Amino acid sequence: MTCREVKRLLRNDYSPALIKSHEIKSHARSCAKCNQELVISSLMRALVTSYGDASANEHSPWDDVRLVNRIKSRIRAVNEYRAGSWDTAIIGARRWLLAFGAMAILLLVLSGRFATEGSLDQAASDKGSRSNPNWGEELVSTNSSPNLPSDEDSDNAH
Amino acid sequence: MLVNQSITQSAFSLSSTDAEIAHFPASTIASDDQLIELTLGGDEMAFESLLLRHHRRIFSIARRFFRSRETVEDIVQETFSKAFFSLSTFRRGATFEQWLAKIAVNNCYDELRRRKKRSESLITELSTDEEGWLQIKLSQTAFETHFNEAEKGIAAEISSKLLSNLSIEDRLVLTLLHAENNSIKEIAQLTGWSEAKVKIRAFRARHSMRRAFQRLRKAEERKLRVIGEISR
Repeated sequence: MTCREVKRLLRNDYSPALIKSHEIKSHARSCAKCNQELVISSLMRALVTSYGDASANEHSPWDDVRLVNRIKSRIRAVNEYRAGSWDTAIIGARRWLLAFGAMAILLLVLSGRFATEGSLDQAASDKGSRSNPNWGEELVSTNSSPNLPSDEDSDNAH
Repeated sequence: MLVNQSITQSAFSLSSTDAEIAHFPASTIASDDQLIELTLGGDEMAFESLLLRHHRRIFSIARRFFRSRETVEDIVQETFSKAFFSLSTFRRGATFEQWLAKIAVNNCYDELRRRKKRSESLITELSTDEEGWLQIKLSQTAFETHFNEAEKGIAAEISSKLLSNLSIEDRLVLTLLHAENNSIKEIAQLTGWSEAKVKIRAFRARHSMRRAFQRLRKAEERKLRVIGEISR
């Protein structure tokens, strides 16, 4: 194993088995620099672990009883708080509010659509009433409208 | 906040007394999933069984981050309370302990963030005795470091100071990696971060600690050189 390989492994591989690796150990015995790397890695691991170990106290069965009671009290307190809070009311009514909201949006969309359709129909009917359905006949026939000049009038004009 | 959680469950009644709790339910045969179903149906003893089955692991996680017994108990309490109110969101068939651990890690992370206190410099942080002790440890040739009972206290103190120099995220990853012996993948699952992010954090944290050690080692070498020159 080369120094580069040892260094790369120690810096990138985080498994605890690595420090115990036989190959790395045998290389580190003959290389002061890698030896130092290994010592640092090992010390770092031991120190981080020691932080939690020092706070580990003797565990008594009474702790379990106390813990259960503590957690139960906490749950009860939260339940009581929830029961009397606005949050609960909002959470409880959230689905209904959402449903109403969705319904309102749907109604708005539908009413808007109907209104548009209605106005289009209205416009179409207006247009229809203004134009003569027998427009072809009108074009062929001589003018019956008093406002438009007749053939005779135009002849007279000439 | 617990209040913001959307689960509404039957109230966890407090009818049982200490005497009743003292004979803990022997639901050792029931699986976690069965106990969860029972809890969701309003059986408080089932939740007690879950609690007693998994509290050691949660204690262990919290102890890795906090030394005060009170804080550790707060974390455990908060973890189980959150678990109780989110129990209906737990996916059946998944590992309940892992799910609890995830909640615990998040609680620890939140607590660490609340307590965020950064030191100015490592050298001024460590006392002369601590520096000396660390230098002795660094000059050893044994590849595996073990602390005896007398050393555990000072090791924990030094560890606390070194860890406090790291960012919260780096500290979280380093602790889960070395103290809890989690893999990168497991840490990613516990924290909800990507594996790449966990790797970067781990690398950065180890680099930072290594640099601190090297700084101490160089200081020791300089001191020895000066002593050598004077004696000549």
